[in-house]
Amino acid sequence: MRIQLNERELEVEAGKTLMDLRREFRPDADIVIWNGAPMVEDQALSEGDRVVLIRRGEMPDSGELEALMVARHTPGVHERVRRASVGIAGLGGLGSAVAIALARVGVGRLVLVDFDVVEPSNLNRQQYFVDQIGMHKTAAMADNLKRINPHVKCETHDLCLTPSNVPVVFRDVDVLVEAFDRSDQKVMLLESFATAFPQKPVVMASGLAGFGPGETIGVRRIGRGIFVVGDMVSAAQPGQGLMAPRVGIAAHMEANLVLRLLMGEEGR
Amino acid sequence: MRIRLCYHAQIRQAAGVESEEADCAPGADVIEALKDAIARHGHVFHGLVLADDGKIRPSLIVLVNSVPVPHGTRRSLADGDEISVFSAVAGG
Repeated sequence: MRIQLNERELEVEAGKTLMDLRREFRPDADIVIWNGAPMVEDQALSEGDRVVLIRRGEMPDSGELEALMVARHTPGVHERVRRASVGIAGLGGLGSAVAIALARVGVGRLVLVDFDVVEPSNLNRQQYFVDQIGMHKTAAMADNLKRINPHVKCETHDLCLTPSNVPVVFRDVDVLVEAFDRSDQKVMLLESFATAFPQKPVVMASGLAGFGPGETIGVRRIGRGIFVVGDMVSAAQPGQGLMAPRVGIAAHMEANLVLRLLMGEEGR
Repeated sequence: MRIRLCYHAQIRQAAGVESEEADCAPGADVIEALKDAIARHGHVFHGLVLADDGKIRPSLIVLVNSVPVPHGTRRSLADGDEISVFSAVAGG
């Protein structure tokens, strides 16, 4: 029967088990992952199984790294998302966290756009480091993503998005993530993109400020292929700031929605 | 002609209804339909939909039959059209 071992096709005899495989191919492996789940007990193998054997703490070569990184993915996800392209408009609290989540998932290409530089007040919620203060967010995020997953292609644009350049910058993406701060810019982005690419989905955010209950943040579809994540009402304003927990919840809900769209699990 | 209006989030709260049907004059556009809705729903609704200059607020998403209507464009309505409005709030 055919299985995959560390993402490479392998023919094995019927009746083989997980631990047989470890003994034969990687006796020093101390992490055994079977179809996305870590295993301690032995398990009979079946046609199409995916097995990953890892020696804890060992740096794999570049070719093997990608395979090992997705060992805990649900089977079938990696093949789909590695061919995908996602645009992220804005690399602040939302966009920086969405970018990292999608890089960890292994989305093949990310188009990252922001005009700003990292400054100290960003660090309460945005995915940058103190030593990146003063860097352009596009360059800083591309560096961070490369350290997380070097297999993701990052296309960066250090510019201010306008109705005229939105269709150019995001012409090749499968899904667009709106991650702006200003409400009028959120609307501008949606109008510009949806007019140019009416068949492509847009994932937006609205209502994530403060420290209200996390469970009030949800997803609402407001039009064909137009999704909004947030509690819909909590605006960033004097007296109600933006902080890592709720911004992070919204960002990861945006990222999860992107993943669902790429996997065909979410109707448009 | 008859159209349908769907309200989301704060606008739904201000209107007090999730959606409603309304009559429009033939050839009416989106702004006219929204001004009719303002007359029905009062000042809080007004403040969420229109800016001080009488134009649609820059933070307002207006969709006709699920397709966004860009600010500054006139969108004529037809019988059976559905207008959805959503007010985006700042933060990201």
